[in-house]
Amino acid sequence: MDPIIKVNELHKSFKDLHVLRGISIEVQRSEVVSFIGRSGSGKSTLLRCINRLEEPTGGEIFIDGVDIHEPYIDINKVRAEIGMVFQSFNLFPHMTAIENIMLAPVCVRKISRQEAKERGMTLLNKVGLADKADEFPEKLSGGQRQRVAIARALAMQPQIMFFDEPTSALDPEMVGEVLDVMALMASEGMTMLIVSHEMGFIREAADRVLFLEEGKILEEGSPDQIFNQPQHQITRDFLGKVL
Amino acid sequence: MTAQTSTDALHRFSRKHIPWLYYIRRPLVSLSSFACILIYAFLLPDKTTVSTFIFYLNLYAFLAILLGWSVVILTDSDKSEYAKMLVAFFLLFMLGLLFYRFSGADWARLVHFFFNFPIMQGSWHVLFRGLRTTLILSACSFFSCVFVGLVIAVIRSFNHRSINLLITIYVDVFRSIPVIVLMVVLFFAFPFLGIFLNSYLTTFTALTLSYGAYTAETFRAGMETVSSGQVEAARSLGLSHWKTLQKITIPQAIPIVIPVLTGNMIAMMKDTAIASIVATPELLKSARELYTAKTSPTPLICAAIIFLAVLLPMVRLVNHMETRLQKSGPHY
Amino acid sequence: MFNDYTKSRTFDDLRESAGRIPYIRQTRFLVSSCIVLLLYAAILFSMPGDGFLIRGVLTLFVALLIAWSLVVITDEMRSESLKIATVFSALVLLIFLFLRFNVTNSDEIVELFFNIEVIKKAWPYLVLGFKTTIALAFWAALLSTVIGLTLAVFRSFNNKVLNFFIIAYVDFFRAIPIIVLLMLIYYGLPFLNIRLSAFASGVLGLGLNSGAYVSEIFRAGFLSVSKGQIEASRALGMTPWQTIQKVALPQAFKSVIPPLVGNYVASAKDTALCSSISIIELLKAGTAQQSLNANPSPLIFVTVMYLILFVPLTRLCGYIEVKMKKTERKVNV
Repeated sequence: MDPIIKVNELHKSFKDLHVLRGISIEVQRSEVVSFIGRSGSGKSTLLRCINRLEEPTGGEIFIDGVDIHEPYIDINKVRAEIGMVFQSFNLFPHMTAIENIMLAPVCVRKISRQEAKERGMTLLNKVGLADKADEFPEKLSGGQRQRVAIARALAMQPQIMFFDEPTSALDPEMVGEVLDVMALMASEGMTMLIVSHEMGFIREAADRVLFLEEGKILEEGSPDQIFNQPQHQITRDFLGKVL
Repeated sequence: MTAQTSTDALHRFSRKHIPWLYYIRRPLVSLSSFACILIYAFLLPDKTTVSTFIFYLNLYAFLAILLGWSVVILTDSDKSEYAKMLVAFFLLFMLGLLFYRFSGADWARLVHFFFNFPIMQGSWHVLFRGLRTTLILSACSFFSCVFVGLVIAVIRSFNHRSINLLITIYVDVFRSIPVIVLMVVLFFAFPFLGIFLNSYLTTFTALTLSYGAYTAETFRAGMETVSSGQVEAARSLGLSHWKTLQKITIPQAIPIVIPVLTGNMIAMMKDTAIASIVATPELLKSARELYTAKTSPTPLICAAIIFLAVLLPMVRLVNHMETRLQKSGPHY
Repeated sequence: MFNDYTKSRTFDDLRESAGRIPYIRQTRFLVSSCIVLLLYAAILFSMPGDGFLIRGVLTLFVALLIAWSLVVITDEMRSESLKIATVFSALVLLIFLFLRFNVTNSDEIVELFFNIEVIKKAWPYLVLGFKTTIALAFWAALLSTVIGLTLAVFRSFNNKVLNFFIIAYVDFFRAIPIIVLLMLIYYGLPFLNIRLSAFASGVLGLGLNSGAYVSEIFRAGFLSVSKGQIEASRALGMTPWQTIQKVALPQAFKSVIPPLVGNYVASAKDTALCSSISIIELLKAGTAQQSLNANPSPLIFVTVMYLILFVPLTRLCGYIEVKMKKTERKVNV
């Protein structure tokens, strides 16, 4: 099977700072891949390069076999297939929860508002927030906001989901509800790329873990391999601090 | 510590550190100094009786004492509100009296020249015609400058460096040139190029170009308040640049931008008065023509009254909108 | 529901580089309309130079050119280099059209607008105008600061009577156009036997108007110092004067300086309005010299002078605002 995401020698520099130094990965369908590493190692940047929120300075990215840097490629269509969940939720404050979820399917997939609303309510149900459909984001707790953000991303029926430190901004008691939703998605076969510090969750849910250090992949393997038998000292030091 | 003892302690404290202020504020001192001020006011010499130096010395000394005395009382938190209001009235009354007596103005002629009713009656219909021109010009210029500002803001949102440079040049140039200079150049210098703009077109173009620059900056500031995280979320959902602007950025920028835009419109209406320099038959020009025809400044006063009548409510409206916006709470 | 997605045809679409984009944005439309516009331009160039018809046709062409350029510029799929090329070609085309259809000869333009001889003749007069502008700006700023500070201080007494009059003053001078005010002072006051020189009238008008804005700025500055800090410093035993000096003033300073500088710059720009009451400031010098020499070079020179003066000043204002914001240490205390 062709990998759904293929990254070749990706480089990204911000002015003088060389953040990504030649990353190459392949992700298969329904695979849950997790990126761990120290802050500044380039994990978020990698994710953001793949859906071109940042423009890479070198390398190639193929999604479902399509080189997303070809000039004729409409990046909006690519992004419609990749759902992204952010650390700071980024809900739209001037819209209710259900409107947040309905916006993209109506505008991008061009489905009717009725159908979008039904889809949205089903998703809210699934994440456990059906009663909050008409609330504005400022009235929701952090965990609730993040769940709405996940539902918003899922409303587009993407083939891949990206998670950029989804629980880092949450109070500890709300982390669980978000991780439960993510675990549910993983069990149903969604392709997921996760940047996170929640090692417990990663150990349970991830198929593959990559340890990034200074813009390169230092180690790669199953959660068991990385957490129990880390090869490099840096990995051991990092794991020692977070586990 | 009970209230009583704490006040005592405070009094002891203030007596120890700022004795003179405490003593000055005692009611007896205030009243006696009030009497002194009254007497001094009566005794102030006229310009004609003494030399200029003595006159000005007395005048400024009196002013200083009056202001100092009222400030001391007004900043005294122990005095009642009632007393302070009386003091304020007294201060303003004294200032008015001074101005009346010593400014050398011939006040008897005030009504005759400035509020001359027969001349007023004849002026209103001419002035209202001018007002109509003013309002129409302002409205047209306002809409076109908002259009220009919006187009520039949208182009800017694409973040292309070279195009942004051109836009920055335009905005800098037209925010720096005073509107009157622009109007004069368009009206008096352009004919040498073979471009003859009549006075209406000159005013319209000058106002649009100038305020278009200000409006573009306003829109940019408004759009910047929308956090980049939301824009990223919208783009990562697959919304195109246009759709993001349409659904996310601009709806949230509008409530922020409206008070400033209204302020711009007020400024623009005021600047239409400048158009009188380039022979536009708007309100001020009509007033000046009447002034020349009737050699009385009453038409000018009437024009000022009309300006105030139109603009004061708008100024209050902008104030109100700004306070309401601040109250509406934080956006995140 | 999560695995309810079907493998959409999006990526197949992308592979075939298909997709629905609005007709206006499609390349074939843009190219064909570009060719039409160029043909239109060629026809325009060969048409006779006069007449009413030509003006209408010309305006239509300019409007179409601008619309076409906007469509290209606001297309997010096109590269930056294409857009900048479009802008430049459009500008060049407009300049060529202008030169072609202009009544004046192109080398006459230099002689008319950048005539060194005329400027040399007008130079002393222009320098006088420049000095007057600077003097006007300085004295008006001084007057407005005195008025504004006084009003703000009296406003802080929270006395209802004083507040009423101060608010009336501020609203009045924010509502009345400066030029109307100047004319009232210059043409109206002599009727009351108050004879002020033109320069004094200008300073008075500008100062009164600017004073209203300055008082609002100082008032905002006073309010920006939180009451809690004043109470705390008094509770520590500091005298009112010490509190003002060490606690209130430094903080008010930070919030007052940027808008104040902006106000002074705006006031300096308003000195150009004084040309309407026969003060020989920069603009008046330029227009007078233009009528004298029947050549617009002095006026153009004056415009350039305004640009040289105010573009850096406006940028400076923006810079000060940013710097003050950066050094603002907002701690939730």
